[in-house]
Amino acid sequence: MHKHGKLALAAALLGALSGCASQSGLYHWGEYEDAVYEQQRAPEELEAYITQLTEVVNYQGKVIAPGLYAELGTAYLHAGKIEQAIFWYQKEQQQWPESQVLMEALISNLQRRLPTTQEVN
Amino acid sequence: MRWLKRILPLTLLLLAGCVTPPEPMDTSAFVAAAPRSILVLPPVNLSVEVDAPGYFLATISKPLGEKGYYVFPVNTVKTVMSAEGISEPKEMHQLAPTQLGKMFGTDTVLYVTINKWDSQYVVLSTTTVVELEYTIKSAHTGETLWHTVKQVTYTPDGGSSGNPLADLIAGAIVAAMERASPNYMPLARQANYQVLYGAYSAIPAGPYLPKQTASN
Repeated sequence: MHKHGKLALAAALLGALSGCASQSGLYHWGEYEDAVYEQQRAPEELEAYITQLTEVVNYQGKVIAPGLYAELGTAYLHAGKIEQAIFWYQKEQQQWPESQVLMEALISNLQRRLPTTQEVN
Repeated sequence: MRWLKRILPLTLLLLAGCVTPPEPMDTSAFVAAAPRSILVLPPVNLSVEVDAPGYFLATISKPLGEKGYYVFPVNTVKTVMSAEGISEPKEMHQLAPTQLGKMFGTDTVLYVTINKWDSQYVVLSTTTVVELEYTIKSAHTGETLWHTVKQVTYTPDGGSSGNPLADLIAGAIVAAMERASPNYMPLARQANYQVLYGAYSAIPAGPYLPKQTASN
């Protein structure tokens, strides 16, 4: 009886532990949450937002979370830097097929705004 | 030994009660729709906390993404909406899910309403109660796939030192700091995690979550 109690406890503990382990994460998010919050609160602080996001997407060793390349693209769009915006939207599009429709619309829209049809990289 | 026999079934029953999770929500429609992507609209805010939508938007992508879904970039979505002349969340929520589906190429849309976000300040602690209402609809059919209302109560923790007097002072300092400039990021994270991962309301695992962890 006592032994079984211990076993049950051990099983429960293991269950709890594996529950934690499964949350170690698929992606790198870095300071994305704080960056987005700050951007909602103070949209004019673009430079800091771009710096924060750049740091997040440059991380090596884990897949960058979905949407983050595009968020950086949008930050550049707000800053009036169309070519950089296109670059990051293309990166999102290549990484995530689910983003195809939105990225395609954004990219083609922005390419029409460029002064010349130069190669963007 | 007889007393033991008598209370044993009772004890087992109690233990079973602890271990058995509550009957989970019916997610069969969600599973059948098998969405790959979720578009999160900026929330409608019915509370008096003006920063509540920002806290929510900042903390919703991570738990959804880690569940294995493609989450549309929340700030980009907001920007696109504004460019289309729709800047009020209320107007956005009135758009048909199928229309949003065509605009963004998303499989589903998450609509959130912040019903309540109230802080009660007392000397030693600050307690905040939030109530959020979540609905996920199919962007292909408009069908509601998942709906839940969640209330979360949050008190920032100053940590315990083991010394009651020190704790009392620390608690008062934490409460004062919260009053001056509240940080609701932990609260918003907690609310979104509890809803999306909680035993009752958890959403099914998405396509990017490996099968092994998906069953957890």
